[in-house]
Amino acid sequence: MVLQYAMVQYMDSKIIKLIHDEIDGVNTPRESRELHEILNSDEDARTLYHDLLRISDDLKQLKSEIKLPAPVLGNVKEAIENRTAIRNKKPNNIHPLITRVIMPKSNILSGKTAAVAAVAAAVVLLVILFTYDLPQPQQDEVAGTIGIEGIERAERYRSAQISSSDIILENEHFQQILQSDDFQRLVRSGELQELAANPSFVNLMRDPSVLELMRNEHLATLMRDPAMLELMRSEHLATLMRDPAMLEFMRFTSADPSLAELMYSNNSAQLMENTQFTSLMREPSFLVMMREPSLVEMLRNPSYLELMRNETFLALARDATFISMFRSESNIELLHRADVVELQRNESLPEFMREASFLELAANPAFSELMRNSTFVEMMRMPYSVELFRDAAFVSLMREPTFLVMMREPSFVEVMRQPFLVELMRNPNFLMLMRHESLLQLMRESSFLQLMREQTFVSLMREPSFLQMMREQTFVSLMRHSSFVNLMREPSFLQLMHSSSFIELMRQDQVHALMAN
Amino acid sequence: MADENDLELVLQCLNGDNGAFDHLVMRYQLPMYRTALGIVKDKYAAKDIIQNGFIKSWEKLHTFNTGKKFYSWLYKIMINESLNYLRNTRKGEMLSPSLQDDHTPFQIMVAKEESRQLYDSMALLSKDQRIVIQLRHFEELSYQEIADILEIDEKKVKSRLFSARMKLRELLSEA
Repeated sequence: MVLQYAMVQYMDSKIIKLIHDEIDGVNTPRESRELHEILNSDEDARTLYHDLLRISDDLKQLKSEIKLPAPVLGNVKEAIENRTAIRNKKPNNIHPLITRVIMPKSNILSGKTAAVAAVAAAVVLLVILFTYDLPQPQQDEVAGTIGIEGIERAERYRSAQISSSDIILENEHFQQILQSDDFQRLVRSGELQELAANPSFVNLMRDPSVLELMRNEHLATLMRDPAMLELMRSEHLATLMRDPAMLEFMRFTSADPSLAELMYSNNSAQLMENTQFTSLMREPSFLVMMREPSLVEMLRNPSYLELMRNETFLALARDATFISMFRSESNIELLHRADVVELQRNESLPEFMREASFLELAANPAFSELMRNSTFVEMMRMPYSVELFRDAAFVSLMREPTFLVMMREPSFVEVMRQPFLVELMRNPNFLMLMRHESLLQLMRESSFLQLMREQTFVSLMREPSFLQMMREQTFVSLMRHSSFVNLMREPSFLQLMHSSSFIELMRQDQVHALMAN
Repeated sequence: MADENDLELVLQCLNGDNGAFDHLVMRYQLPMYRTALGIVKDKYAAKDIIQNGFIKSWEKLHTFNTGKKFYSWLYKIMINESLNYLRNTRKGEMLSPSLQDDHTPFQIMVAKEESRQLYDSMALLSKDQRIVIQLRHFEELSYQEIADILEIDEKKVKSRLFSARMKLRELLSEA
C-alpha cells in the first residue's frame, strides 16, 4: 500500500480533527460541509483525508479476513457444565466439618458483612483443615466434595469425625475466631457453602505453597481484616497467589509482624486490588526493592502508601535507577532524617509527590544528593516551592548538573526562599538564563545575591532585554564588580536600566570598562 | 454490535439457563477473538484467552451491571485477560514484525499482501494504540463505548485513535 504522505506538521489542528471526525462519522452536517470546502482548496488536507479513508477501508477488509481457528463454544460449555454441577452439589461441596457446624438455618445476614464474615470463617476453617492434622470425617460424608479436581484431596480426608474441642485446643487465634460474632453469623448465613464451592478459592487453598504461607500466624491473624478477606475472595488474587514471585513476596512480608501488619492492612488490601500494582509485584526488581528496609520504613507513612497507587510511581518503580535509590545506605539515612520525615507531613507535598515531574526528579541521583541539604529541604516545605517544583521548565532546569551544584550553595538556597525569586524562576527566560555557567558563577557572589533581594532589581530581571544582556559574558563580568552591584542598587540607575537604549549602550565594551573603573 | 437481547440472555443465565450463555458465546466469540488476537498476536493464545474469558464472564455474571452494555463488559474482561497474558509471557511487545518468521499463523492466515502490510504496521503501534484501532475499526464501537471499556476519558480515546491512525499512515507510506 503506497500512500501519498502529505506533510501534516504545519496543518491546522482543526483541519486534522475534522478529517478524523469525518472518518469516524461524528461530524455534524455543517462540519462535513466545512471540511469538504477545505478539501477542495487544500491539497495536503485532501491527501491526508484520502489516506486515512483508505486505511479505514483496509482495516474493514482486514477484519473480514480474520477467522476463528476453531469454535470455542464446546470447551466453554463443558467448563460451565462442570461448574454448574459443583454449584448444584452445594451442601456436599464443603468439608463435612463445615456442613456439620454450619448448616444454614436462617438467612439473617446479607451483603458485604455476611460475605466478609463468610470468607473470614472459611479461610480460618480451611486453614485449620489443611494445615493442622486434625482427625478427618467419615468417607460417606466427603464423596464428591471439593471441585472437579477434588477427588484426590477427598481421599485424604477419609478419617474419623472431629469435634469442636479439637479445634479449640489447637490454636488460640482460631478459637477466638470460632467464638466471634462474625463466625456465629456465618453459621446462620449459609454463604460459606458458596465460598467453598468457589473453585478458584478452593484450588487456592489446596495449593501447597499457599498452605505453607497460611501456617504463618501473623498472616492468619491478619486474614481477619475485612478488606483483606474481601480481597481473598477475588479470583484475581487467587491467580496472583499462585505466582511463585507473589508467594515469595507474601512469605517475606508476613515473616515480620510489623511489615505484615503494614502490607495486609486495609490500605494495602485496596492497593492490591490495583492490577497495575499487582503486576508490578511480580517484577523481580520490585520484589528486590520491597526487601529494602528503607522502603518498608517509608511505606509506614500513609502518604507513601497512597503514592504507590499512582500510575507514574508504578511505572517508575520498574526503573532500575529509581529502585537503586532505596539500596543506597545514605538514602536510607536520608529517609530517616527528621527534616525529611517532617517534609513528608507537608500538606501539599504528598499530592506533588504523585506528579510525574517529581517522580522523575526523585530518580535523579543529583536530586537525592541535594535533598541532603537541610536548607533545601526546608525550602521544599514552603508552599510556593511546591508550585515551583510543579513547573516543568524548572524541573527540567533542576536536571542540569550546574544548577544542582549551585543549589548546594546555602546562600543561593537562602535567596531562593524569597517568594519573589520563586516567582522569577517561573519565568521561562530567566530559567533559560540560569543554564549559563557564567550567571551561575555570578549567583554565587554574595553581593549579587544581596542585589537579588531588591524588589526593583527583580523587576528589572523580568525584562527580556535585560535577561538577554545578562547572558553576555562581559556584562556578567561587570556585574561581579561590587561597585557596579552597588550602583545597581540605586533606584534611579535601575530605572535607567529599564530603558532598552541604555541596555544597548551597556553592551559597548568601552562602557563596561568605564563602569568597571 | 447487537445488544438488543443480550440483557434478556444474561437474565436467563442468571436464572440458571446456561443455554442462554451459549448464544452469547456464539454471538461474541469472533469479535472477542479479533480483539485478543490483535493484542497477543498469537492465534492459539487468543483462542485460549477468549475461552477462559467466557468462562470467567459466566462465573462473574452476577457482578455485571445490567444497566450497562453486556458486550462492553465482555470486551473489558477479554482485554484484561489478553494484557495479563502479555505480562505473564512477556511476549507481544517485544516482537517486531520484521524479526518474525514470515510464516507466523497470522501471516499465513492473512493472504492478501495489502492486508499483511497493514497488519504488520499495526503490530508496530503501541499496545494502547492497537487496542483503540481495533475497537473502533474492527468492532465499530463509539468513542464513549471505547472509553467505558478502557476506563479512560473520551478525549484520551480520540487522541490515541488519531495518533494511531497517523502512525499507521506514516508506517504504510514507508512500506
